[in-house]
Amino acid sequence: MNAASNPPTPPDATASSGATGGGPPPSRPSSPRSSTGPRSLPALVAAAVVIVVVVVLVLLFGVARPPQLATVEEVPTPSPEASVAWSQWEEGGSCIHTVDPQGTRSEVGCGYEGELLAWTDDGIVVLAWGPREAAEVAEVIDPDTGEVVDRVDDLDGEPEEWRREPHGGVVHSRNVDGTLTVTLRDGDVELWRVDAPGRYGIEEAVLSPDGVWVAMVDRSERLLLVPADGSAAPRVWAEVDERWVRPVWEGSTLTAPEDG
Amino acid sequence: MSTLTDRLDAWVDAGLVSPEQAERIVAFETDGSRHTGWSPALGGGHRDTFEDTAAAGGSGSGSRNRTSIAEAIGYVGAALALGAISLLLGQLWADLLVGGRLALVGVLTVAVFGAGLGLRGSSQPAMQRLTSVLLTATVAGVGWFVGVVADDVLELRSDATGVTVGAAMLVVAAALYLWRGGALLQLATLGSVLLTAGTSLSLSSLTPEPVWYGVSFAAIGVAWFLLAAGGWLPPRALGEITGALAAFGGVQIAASDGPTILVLAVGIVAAGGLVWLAVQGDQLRHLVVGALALFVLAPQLVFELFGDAIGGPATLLLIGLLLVLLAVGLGRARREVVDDDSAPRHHTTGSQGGVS
Repeated sequence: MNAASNPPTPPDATASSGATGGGPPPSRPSSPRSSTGPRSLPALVAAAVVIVVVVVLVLLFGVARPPQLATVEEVPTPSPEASVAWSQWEEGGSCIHTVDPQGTRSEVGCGYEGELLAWTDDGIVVLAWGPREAAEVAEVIDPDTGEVVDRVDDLDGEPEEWRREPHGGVVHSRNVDGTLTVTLRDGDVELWRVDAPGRYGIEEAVLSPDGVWVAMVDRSERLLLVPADGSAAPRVWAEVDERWVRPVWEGSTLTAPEDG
Repeated sequence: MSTLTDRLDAWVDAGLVSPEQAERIVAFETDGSRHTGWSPALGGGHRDTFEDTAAAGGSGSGSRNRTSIAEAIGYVGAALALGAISLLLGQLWADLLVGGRLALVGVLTVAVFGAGLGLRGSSQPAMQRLTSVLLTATVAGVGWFVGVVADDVLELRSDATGVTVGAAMLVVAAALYLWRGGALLQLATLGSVLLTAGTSLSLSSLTPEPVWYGVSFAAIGVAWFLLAAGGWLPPRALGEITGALAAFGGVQIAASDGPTILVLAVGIVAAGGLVWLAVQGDQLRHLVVGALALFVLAPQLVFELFGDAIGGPATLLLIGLLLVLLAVGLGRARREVVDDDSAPRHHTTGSQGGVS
């Protein structure tokens, strides 16, 4: 800050160079290297100290790691009988991905511009974004080809009622004093208790059709697989690149959303 | 209004110029030169008001006005053309293969950089400004090109792509700024620093809380302000303003979550410090930025502390007091400007406020 109150440069140096023609062109902007003005070393040191201190603070307290978990590929058993699908935003629009029980990931296709409702026997049902009065509000996607094979225009209720923001789904996630506790909303079964950073938690969770498994999405953008009875720790099923992902299980049904 | 020789005598007496320099100036002015009033010492930012040069300055002023209008029209036309090209590219982009995208962006970037290189030696102010625009556009082009490489070729995740783009832009912007200097390249460098810092934080597997983004931006802003004030980042005035704005922007981000009251309080103290610095040093730019930050941050703190119950009246009272403070500061700054007009202009050189 000393330099802020330093007396400004007298015009002699620059004036002489400009007048004699020996210096740079008159209107050429002064580069840091060629600047002839006074430079304050304390200001440079203070700036460096500010940056170093903040970098250290961020590294020590700002950057946290989520709980480290094994992947489904590393520990393949026990495994569910069904795959899951989800959509995430990419360059080509909304892209649908699937992961099978062994952890093999596939891309169904892109450009669907909607969100997933279910994965029925007919295919993956996508609720198309658009006006509430849209006559055709859902499309059925073939998971193998990515083609639209059917349309659903008789959804029970308004499209807005089907569009739900992820808010934990079938689990309740609490992080108190660095301990994360995840329980099933129905039955209060404790699925997972782990030491975790305060910002870590579960964004969405969906119960498998047979009620044996729960697919969860955490804040580190990972799709986790955990037994619904809490008998084993979660495993990482896939990286989903977004935390606002709502997975759908293969074999799920298209059921109307409940009120509230 | 005094004669040139009178003023030069006064400057020599004050030790501002040497007798030899005064003689050279007199010789220059009496040789019938077409001096237009452009002052190299002031970075082109001011014109002389001496009677001796008034006649020459009069015709030069008209010429400069025409040049400025033509330049402005040229930039508007270029902006329209760029907009049209962008629309066309937007329609074609999805159909282009990766090679086509790289070639298109690469050719555009090299062309812009080449044009900047070709014009770099010109002594015309308009060409100098165009050079800065072209070199700054080169920074954006490099970022675009690296973005295509990271996204389409390397298929990096979005946060990794962001860091790659930011780092590449930072390297190019800093190099060009060190080479050429100027306001636009300084802005590009600061923008690249902020982009790199923000995207680097997002690389973390668990995204940090907003307060850490804010703290990082604020620290960069403070460091930028210090470097500019210390004479390391010309033009100094612009560096101080943008550094302060980045710092207060960081405060605003940090206050969006977590220790809001503490962060807002720190921001208000910093803003008050800037206003104090403005009044002490008669720096209008500090006053404007500091007052702006106070107007933005103070009401938030009042509502955080007192809620809706007394938040409204208290905020009105606070803003009223701030307006009084601003008026006092503006009064001082105005005196400074008036004094500047009637005294030898030795203050403004410290700011190196020429915009390229």
